[in-house]
Amino acid sequence: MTRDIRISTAGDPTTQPVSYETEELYVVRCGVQKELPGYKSGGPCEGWYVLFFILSGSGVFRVGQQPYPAAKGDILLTRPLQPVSLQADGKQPWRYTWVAFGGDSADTYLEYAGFGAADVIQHSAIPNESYLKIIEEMLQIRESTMTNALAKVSALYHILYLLARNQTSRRQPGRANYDYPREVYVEYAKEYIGYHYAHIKVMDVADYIGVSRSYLTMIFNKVLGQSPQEYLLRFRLEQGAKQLRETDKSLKEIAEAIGYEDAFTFSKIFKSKYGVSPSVYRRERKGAAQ
Amino acid sequence: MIQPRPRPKTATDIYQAGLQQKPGYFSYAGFRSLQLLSGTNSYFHITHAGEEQCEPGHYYDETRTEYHMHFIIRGKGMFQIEDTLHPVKQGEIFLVPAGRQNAYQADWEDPWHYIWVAFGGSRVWRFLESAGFTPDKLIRPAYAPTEQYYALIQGILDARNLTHANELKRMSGLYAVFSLLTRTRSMENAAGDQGFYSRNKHVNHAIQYIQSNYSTTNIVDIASYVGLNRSYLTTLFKKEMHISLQEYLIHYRMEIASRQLETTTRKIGEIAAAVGYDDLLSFSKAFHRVHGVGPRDYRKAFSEMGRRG
Repeated sequence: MTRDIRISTAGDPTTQPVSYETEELYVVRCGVQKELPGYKSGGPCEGWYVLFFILSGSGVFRVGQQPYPAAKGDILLTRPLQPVSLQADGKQPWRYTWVAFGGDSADTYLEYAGFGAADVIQHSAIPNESYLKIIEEMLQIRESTMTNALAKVSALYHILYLLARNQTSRRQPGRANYDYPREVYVEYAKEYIGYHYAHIKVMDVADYIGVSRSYLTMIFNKVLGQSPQEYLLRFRLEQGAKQLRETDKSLKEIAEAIGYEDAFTFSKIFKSKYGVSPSVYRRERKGAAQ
Repeated sequence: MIQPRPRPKTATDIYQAGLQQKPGYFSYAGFRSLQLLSGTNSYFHITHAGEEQCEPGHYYDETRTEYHMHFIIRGKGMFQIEDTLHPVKQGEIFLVPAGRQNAYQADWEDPWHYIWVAFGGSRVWRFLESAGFTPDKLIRPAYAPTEQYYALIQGILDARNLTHANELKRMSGLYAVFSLLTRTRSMENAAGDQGFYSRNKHVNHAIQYIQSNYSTTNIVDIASYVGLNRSYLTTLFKKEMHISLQEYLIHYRMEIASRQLETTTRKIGEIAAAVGYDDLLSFSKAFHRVHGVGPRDYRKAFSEMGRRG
């Protein structure tokens, strides 16, 4: 038997799952293995996706006939039903940790993680021990309960999160990488401004949605035909105008509510935009409404 | 019924009032999921999360399109679902299901401070039920210190930037919240029985575990894997299968052994070891008891049958 020359370093790497509670993503098995020099084996879980994180040593990973030499710090991926083999180096055999999983969203998430359809190997941007820590925690979760199924899928999402955060930046080095269509960022920014307009600067908006200020300016110009600065100013003044029409609040109160230090600044900006002062505007509009 | 006194007009107004009173007390995030944006059906997804120290008498009555779950950290309030009114307080969780008429209001003297998370998807009720909610039971105790939920939801709020990575982090947080809910919910049940799986499912789990681990496992392992105590599992198994768990395990091993005797030329000692017997004698005895003949005779009989056939 070949099993006795494998050394499991944590928990029971052969624990089998029995059912999957989540369809979009689920953990099948996971483990930690240290191979003897030259040891060759098939993949641990051929019906599933398997991510391998090499912790030390080296070896050769084969997908079909294609060899991929791999060493400490590398991450390898196999997909369901791929014929794979792993051969530990004759002098410095590898130690690795792995997690096997499935689910409808696995392909999409792997793409987020920098593994396109044809990608097999990446060098990890962070020490692979970070992934080991999560997998060791998963190995402690044994009982087959709903609680544990949810804890495992949470842990797997966490692994994919770390990959997506750290590996995608490698894809287009030196360039910020924005994941969503620009309309989505604009919509998200507008929603944020809708809640916070009185207290924020354009930089806060950019920070909140997670893009640079210049990118935000570029997409606002393309999608809305105005800069975020102009949009924010206009939004504030519209809110001010609305309060002038619909409330009896003093100018000072309205100015403060929409984020101006005093009534004078508000009046000046209001006049430059609407062509009339706030008090004239209020008189005309209120009069018109009655 | 809830009587909104000076009732603010919209959530935004309330939000503004909250900000001006106690800046920093409030945090809110609406999320975007690419899956939803692309119109794909979702099993489970998160749409919002937030934290709110409400003003006395703060009032909401929107019918939601997602499920909103509130964890009350301090204070109290009233929760109305259709025509029924429930008082809810610190240390409790209340769920506003999608599409149901509802209202909730912070207490006038001791207004609540809560964190909340909103989610949707076709599998929502599966997870809600295992967390102890039903369409008729929308309030439960947190059972764990609310700080634990707080930490998880803060983690979700921190991942508000629109990146793929954060989309994954938020889902990790959402499942962690539900794992905690399900774990603490089981504290309600009788000791030993983590009742949110049906009996039948426990038995199926035991069988699938045996099928994967028959060569190394024993009853204690099986019970620990399924998550029940040993005597409860054996009783359940017997009731369901009309054969004891121990007997089932032996039968399964002998079934594998007989197949190997039929199809391979491996030595009997090897086959015995492969199905978990170090001792050839006890293997032969067990085989005899199940198949009526010893392993050697079984192989002989089978190969003669093959020659004749």
